[in-house]
Amino acid sequence: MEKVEAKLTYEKAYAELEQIMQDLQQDKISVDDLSAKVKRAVMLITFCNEMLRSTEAEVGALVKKLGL
Amino acid sequence: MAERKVYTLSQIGSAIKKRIEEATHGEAYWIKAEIASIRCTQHAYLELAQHRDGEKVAVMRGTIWSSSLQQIRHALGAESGNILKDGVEILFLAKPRYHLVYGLSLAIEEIDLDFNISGMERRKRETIATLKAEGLIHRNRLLPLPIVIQRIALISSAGTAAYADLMQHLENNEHGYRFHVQVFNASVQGDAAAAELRAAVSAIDPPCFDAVVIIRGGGSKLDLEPFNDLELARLVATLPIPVLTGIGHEVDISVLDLIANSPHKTPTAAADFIVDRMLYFETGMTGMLSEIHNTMLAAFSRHKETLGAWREMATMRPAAHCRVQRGALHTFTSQFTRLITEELNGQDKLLDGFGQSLLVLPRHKLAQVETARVREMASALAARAQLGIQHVIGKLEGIGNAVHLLAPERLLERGFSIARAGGKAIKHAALLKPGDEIETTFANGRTWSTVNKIEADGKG
Repeated sequence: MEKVEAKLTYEKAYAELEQIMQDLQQDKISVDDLSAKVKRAVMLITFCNEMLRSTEAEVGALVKKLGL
Repeated sequence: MAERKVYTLSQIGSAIKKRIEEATHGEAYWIKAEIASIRCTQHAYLELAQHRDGEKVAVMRGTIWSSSLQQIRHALGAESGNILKDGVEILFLAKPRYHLVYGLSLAIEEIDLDFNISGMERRKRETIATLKAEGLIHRNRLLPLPIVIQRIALISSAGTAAYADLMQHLENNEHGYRFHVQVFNASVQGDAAAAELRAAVSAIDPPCFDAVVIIRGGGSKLDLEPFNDLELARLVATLPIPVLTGIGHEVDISVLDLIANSPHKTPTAAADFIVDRMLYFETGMTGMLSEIHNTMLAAFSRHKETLGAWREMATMRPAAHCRVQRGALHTFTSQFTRLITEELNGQDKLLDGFGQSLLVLPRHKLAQVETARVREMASALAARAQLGIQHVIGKLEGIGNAVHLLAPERLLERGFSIARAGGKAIKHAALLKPGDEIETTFANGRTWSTVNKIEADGKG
């Protein structure tokens, strides 16, 4: 997976997407930033998708990391 | 010592039995008592007790004969297990009976189920009232429920159908979502249930989970009792993460359902709720992405349009400007030309008039001189023409004379003759041979003769 910030959560991803969409709809994003924003949106969704469907191995690692 | 009257045991027993039967007239009484212990064979044998302030104040045996036991079990239905057990207070209809061998016991004929249920309801109401007073009743419900519930602390009795159902629905969801479930085992029925549930809740480390899920399969009304436990409710209410319940029941609501963040009727319903929420989240995200994409495309096309308009303005404006300038120039030129022409014409007319007035006199004189000259020339030409004609006539006359002299008659007159053979004039002697007859024409007659000798001189 692409390197994402450590503390990205579903909620944060969702909120950020909403913000991007709002900014876009209100024409707050310049053409220069458009593709970067869309790229970010795609990354957020990819991140969430992969998190939603993460494999058992990843879960195991996660649980281990949590010290359970 | 007076003779003592000695009774046998059966005599005494019979007497007591008789007295009891006289006193009760075989009537049955509604009696309230706690089942201290119960033992079931074909019949049920109970130790009934009454406590007051923790002290046992009355004890009596009770019996449910097999015929009554069947009826009672039928009447209690699913609750028989919850009622015919140690520690339960029951309200029952019984006849005091004295048996010579087994002594005094209460023959139980009927058990009032409502007494137990209303007892449970009363305790439940009390628990709810307490929780309200402690400000705990809404505490868990006020916690925000994460959109994605993925790390789950599951309180359940492992190996039960409820557990299997929940896990099946979570793990085999059609969207491929993965869940991280940690099971905190606790029996959900029976006397130990409340204590085990409390232990399970206490064992959860909240930061590691998105939510706690408490489930139980179906059960009777009184089976809900552990979920009405005040201590358990306190623990659950104060959990810092949301609690979901799937405590299978038809119409009743346990205290836990009441305080849970998200109560569900069955474990399956709880699992589906969690999966649906994930789907909702994902669909929302995907929808937003496509909306972002569309908005972006719209923004691009809007910018493109503006750019296009600008480009058009940048190219068309100068061209239009040039056209206008050219038009203006053209108009100017034609106007200028017209003006110049008009001016020139004016000048011309002026000059013309001026010139004419200047030339009137000399031109008149010139005309007279010229006319005279032309006349002279004309008469000279006429004289010369006359001479020419005469000369031509003379020449023509000479030619006519010559032609006359050359005519054959004239030649014959001058001594020439024409020889012919076969009607044709003979121009070469070589064409003749001796013996040929020739016709000779003279000026005034013809002769016919025969050729004797030929002498061609090769000429002609």
